[in-house]
Amino acid sequence: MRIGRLFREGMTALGSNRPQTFLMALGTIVGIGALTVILFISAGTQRQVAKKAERFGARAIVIIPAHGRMSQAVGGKSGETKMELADKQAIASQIEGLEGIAASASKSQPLKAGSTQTTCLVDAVEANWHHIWDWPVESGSPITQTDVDQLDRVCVLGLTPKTELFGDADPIGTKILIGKVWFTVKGVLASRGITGTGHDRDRRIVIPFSTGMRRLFNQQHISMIRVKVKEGVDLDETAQSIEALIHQRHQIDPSIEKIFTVFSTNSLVKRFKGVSESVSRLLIALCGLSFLVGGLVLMNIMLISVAERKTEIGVRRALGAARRDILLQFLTEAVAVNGIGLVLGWCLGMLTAWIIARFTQIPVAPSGLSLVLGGMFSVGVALVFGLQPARRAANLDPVEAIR
Amino acid sequence: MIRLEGISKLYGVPPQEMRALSGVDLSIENGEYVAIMGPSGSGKSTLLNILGCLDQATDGRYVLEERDVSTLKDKALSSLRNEVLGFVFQQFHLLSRLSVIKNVLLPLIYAPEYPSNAMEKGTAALSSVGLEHKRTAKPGELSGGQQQRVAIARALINEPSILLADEPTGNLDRQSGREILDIFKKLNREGRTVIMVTHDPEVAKESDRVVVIEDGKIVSDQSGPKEEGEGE
Repeated sequence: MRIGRLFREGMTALGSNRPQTFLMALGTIVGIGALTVILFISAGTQRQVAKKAERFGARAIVIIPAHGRMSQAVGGKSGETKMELADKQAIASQIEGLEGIAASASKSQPLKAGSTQTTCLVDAVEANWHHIWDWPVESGSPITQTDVDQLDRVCVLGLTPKTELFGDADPIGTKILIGKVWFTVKGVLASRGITGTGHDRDRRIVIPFSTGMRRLFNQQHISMIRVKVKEGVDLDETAQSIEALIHQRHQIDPSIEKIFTVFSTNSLVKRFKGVSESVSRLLIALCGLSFLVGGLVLMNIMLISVAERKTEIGVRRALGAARRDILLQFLTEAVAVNGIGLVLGWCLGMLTAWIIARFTQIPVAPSGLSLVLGGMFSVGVALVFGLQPARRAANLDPVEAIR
Repeated sequence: MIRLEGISKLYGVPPQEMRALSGVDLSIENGEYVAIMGPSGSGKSTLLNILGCLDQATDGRYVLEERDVSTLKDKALSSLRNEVLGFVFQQFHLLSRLSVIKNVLLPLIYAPEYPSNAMEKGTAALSSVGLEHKRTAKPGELSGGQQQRVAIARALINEPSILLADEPTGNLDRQSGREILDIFKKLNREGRTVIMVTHDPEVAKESDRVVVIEDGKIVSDQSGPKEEGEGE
């Protein structure tokens, strides 16, 4: 094909002036590099957010009391604002579209099994906890309604205390000391791993709510309410209603101050996306800027090159090249330069992404989109910025050019 | 066959226009060897450029191989330059980064079909100017005369019927010039039309017909005595 021949012509011209070719490709290299990094980070973040959302649980809303700093100003309360079972009942009866709701109270407690000791977060939970938290047992049996009703002294161990106290041995049926009360281990929770911030989700023990409140903690207030909404119910709307309700119950205007934090699967995803999007936006600006600068450099070097190769262009015209042939030759040259830029830029981006993944907490995942978008951008920049020099070359008067 | 009727060429914008050619009539039959002479600025190069379809006349009619060139667009003009015409320049104008053979093959890039035997054709063209042993050399490694011979091989690659040369010996010493003129002579004998611009009467003597141009007008058109009647 004629275009193939013209392309080869362009390539020999590029090969004969490598430093210039590199300079022409530099903007594209940086641009494609930045683009690759952005897309890799964005893919990594998406994966991380999806994982977070999955861990947090779908259709979930969590209500926790924030320790009120400004509560003194509003209503003269001091210290911690406490949440009680009545709050849970109010939400259960007044908010629609709930599949379930579970209250829990948590406190850190010393543990002892035989001569081994450790400390662990103890969650006193209602029987539906396993369902609402999407957190089944791995072995043994879960906390049941009967356990709660009878104030049974049973517990289900998270993986970390289980390992610390029992190693590989089967703990089920064994008695352990939590605080000053003896509990029988009835199950082991499935593992949930460590959070991005280093918090170990498996360092916990769950016990029946009633047993915890009356026998172990001896308290009235609860630490957390978790809600699971029905399929198809608007999560954000429900979270807002709950937030309004709970603040109203405590006579606080949430527009002035929020003493309860209500967050849902959505708000979690939004928060993480927000962080990565602001980083992405910065990188996209950098990327766009380097494409622009690169394009202008490409254009100017090409204009110089057209002036330098004026005689060559004239000779080619005399030998039978039509304007279109010259235009295509210079355009394919520009595309080829950016093709080189694409490959080098992609390597640069991969290297940078690898360094980021290796030395920072920023999540990185490979993205095939970087090849597609990169190809489109590099060809696009070549065509947009290469057009003017190519047209100038094509429109040279051959008589003038040869003289 | 070439026929020019009332060809004029104007440069510049109307109030300060410059007339390079005014009303040139000229017919050149196939197989003729024509020298175009005249002082610098007489319009002889402009005439050659118009003949070579590099430039278009402002006025008049140009018929080349039974086609009215004056009405043709860039693409058609380019294929005429590629297939019917061969150019040889005073400055040789080889591409220095390409090898000799690549320079010779250059016009094939713009041919409608790239021949499968391009290399053979190129080598044949080179051997017709006696330079097949320099195939892989770069133009810079050759003498002026050799470079001009490569340029002639390049002009011949598409087997054009008409060769156009603008002062082809102008940059060469006597000996090299002589060789170039012998090649043109040989090509003419093989049936090609040769049209050469020169200001050197010695060179012009080589041709069968001398057209003298002054101030954009043909002032003399003489066929040489020696090969009269052989034109057709």
